[in-house]
Amino acid sequence: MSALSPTVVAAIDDLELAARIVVEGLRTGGHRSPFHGYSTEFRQHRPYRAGDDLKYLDWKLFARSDRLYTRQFRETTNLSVMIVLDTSASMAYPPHGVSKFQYGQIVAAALSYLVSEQGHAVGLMTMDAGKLSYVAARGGRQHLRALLARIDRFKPAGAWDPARVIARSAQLLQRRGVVIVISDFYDAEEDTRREMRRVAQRGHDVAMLQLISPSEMDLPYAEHVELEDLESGVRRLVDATTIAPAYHDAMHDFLARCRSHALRDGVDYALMSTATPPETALRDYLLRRSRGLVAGHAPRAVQK
Amino acid sequence: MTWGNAWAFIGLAALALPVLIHLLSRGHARVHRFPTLRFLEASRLLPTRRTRVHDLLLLAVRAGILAAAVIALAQPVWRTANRTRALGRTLARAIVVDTSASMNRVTLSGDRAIDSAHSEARRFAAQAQTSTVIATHSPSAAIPAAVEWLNRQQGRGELVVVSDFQDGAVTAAGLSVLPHAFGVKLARIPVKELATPVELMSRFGTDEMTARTTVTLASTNVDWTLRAPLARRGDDQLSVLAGPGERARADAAIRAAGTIAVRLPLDSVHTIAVVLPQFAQRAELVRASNAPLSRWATDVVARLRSDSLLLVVASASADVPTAVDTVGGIVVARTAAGRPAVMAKQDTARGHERLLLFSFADAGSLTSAALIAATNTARSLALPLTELDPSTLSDATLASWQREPAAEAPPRNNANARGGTSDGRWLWLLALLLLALETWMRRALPPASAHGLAADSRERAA
Repeated sequence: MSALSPTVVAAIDDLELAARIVVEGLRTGGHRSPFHGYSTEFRQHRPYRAGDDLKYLDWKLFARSDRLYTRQFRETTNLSVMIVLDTSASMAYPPHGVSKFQYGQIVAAALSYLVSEQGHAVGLMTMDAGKLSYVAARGGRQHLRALLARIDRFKPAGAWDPARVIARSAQLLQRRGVVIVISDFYDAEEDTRREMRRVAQRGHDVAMLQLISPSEMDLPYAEHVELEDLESGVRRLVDATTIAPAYHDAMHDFLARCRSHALRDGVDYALMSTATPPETALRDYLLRRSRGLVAGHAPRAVQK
Repeated sequence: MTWGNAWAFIGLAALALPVLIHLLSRGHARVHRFPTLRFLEASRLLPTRRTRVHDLLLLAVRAGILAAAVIALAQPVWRTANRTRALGRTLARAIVVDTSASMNRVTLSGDRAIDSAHSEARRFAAQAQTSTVIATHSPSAAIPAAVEWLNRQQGRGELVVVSDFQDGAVTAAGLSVLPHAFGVKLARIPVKELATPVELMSRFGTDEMTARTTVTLASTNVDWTLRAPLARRGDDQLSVLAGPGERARADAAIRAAGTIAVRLPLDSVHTIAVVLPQFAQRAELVRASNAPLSRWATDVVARLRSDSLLLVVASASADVPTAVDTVGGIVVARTAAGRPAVMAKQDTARGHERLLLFSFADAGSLTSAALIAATNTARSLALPLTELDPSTLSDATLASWQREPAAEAPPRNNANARGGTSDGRWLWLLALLLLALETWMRRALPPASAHGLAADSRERAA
């Protein structure tokens, strides 16, 4: 099964359905879920699926029934995942096609679905109209639906304060958990980096999913254009042809800086292009995360 | 190379337009919403008012389009050897046909001279590749116009005058304006001698004396006749309206005016009245008449205004006390002080047109006598005396003025490029090709300066 394009996924009105499709696509890849294996108390059996870790196979049951079953465990130390979604106006780019915000919504929903399905708690922290908007990390189907509805409700507008949102999301996690920040990271670069480092130092697992559209990598204009900042509304007349090389360099420097700082600060980093199918981008990210290959992600021993 | 319309080169000033527009215009940049401008801060922004010429190649092509169009409008003609030889074989003729009154005489073959002149003109025109015919009663005055026309033609040029060549019809001074490269051909239409007698009439008291003069090349004969006035000469068409108190003086003025000879015949159709200052109904006539005159009356007034005797006498007279401003009309003559001495109006109250000449001079004055005499002269329908002069330019004189056109046409900057001789069409074709090239460059090629400027930008950033 080939991955659905971002345009197709974004066209699905029901975010839960979109998330499920993305997650099903992940499973087809046959890799091991990176969020699995934190629990120890047996909960139930389920039929074996290709890709399940063989160590969870119930061999005794296989001997009795001649069928393969995988053991699933109750969460004894429920993992809390807090998703931080950037809702600033800069995420509303590009104006045509799949915007970064739409892409971020799908990624956030898919991660929420994945985490919740695995019995973990998932919450949401973002900023809406200058105020923090928080959904506590919990498990369960009802909570997932409420969470997805909340994600679906947001519209990109204005500016946001990423450092404050990240700091608050870490505070509200009851215990050590995972903080996944989905943003373009254009705002308050230094403060954001400092706050993510601080959260990571406090024992949280911090992931930095940077979204970018291909048309941002290089100025897609020629001759003289007047560019209007989506967040501040400031306009500037530029000769796009002339400044394109310098812009290209500055943008690549920025992305390289984000990556290197994440590596240095022990933060997971993944750059996701809105042109890449979300399931592909997520699969690559999760696969690398599970193998400890994600930039900035140092494989750590899972503590129960 | 010659130019049919050299003034079109003024259009070359338009070449400055694309450069000025490029340099001065701020441009109407389209607005695009963009996530952040922070990475533009790091780039060195060009000033919004462009002071550098970008895309020099494109600018050069655009300027080339304008230049080609301007040169095409100037109607260039390349003088190749073949073309020069072909031009040398072409002949342009400006044919001046004399239509003066003397050309109404008959030729030796019995035709009217004017008809023969037109036949000759057509024959001359047929011999030339380009020609124009100028019919005029004064050939000498038409020569500059003919030269002007010849100057605008390609090839050799020749002036042809078809006339009976009375004395003064063409003069050496008149022909001197003709450039030496142009030829001169003077074609005489031989006419019979004018045998029409000239009648001059003057009056002495109640008698009328007529001098009948017949002029020929050999002799001049005059017959004098003294007799009573004849009404057929239109005497009753001129009346002098005087008041009772000035009648005697008016009669004296009429008698004095009668002694000045007038050429017969006189106009016996139109009526003219000289209104003296004390005429009883003068005020009514002033009110009943108006200033706009009919054509014949205008001709009479024009002749009066050019009558030297009337002008001299009126300007020598003392100022008149009459309130002339209330009369209105056209001033015929003025006093020394510049006030009107005679004014003309037209009366149509009686169903027929009558020219009224309001005099402000005393009835017995010299001005009144001169006015009556001038009016009589102005009523004459006889031909100008110059047209009756039987003497003509000799054949030897005409032969000395004639010359052949130059064997090779001289280069003329204002050469007429009409008739498909201009090579401008090739330049229009070039302009179209450049336009296509410009369109292709705009669409297909990246801005030529982009890489160079980018490198420049990087250097500056460094």
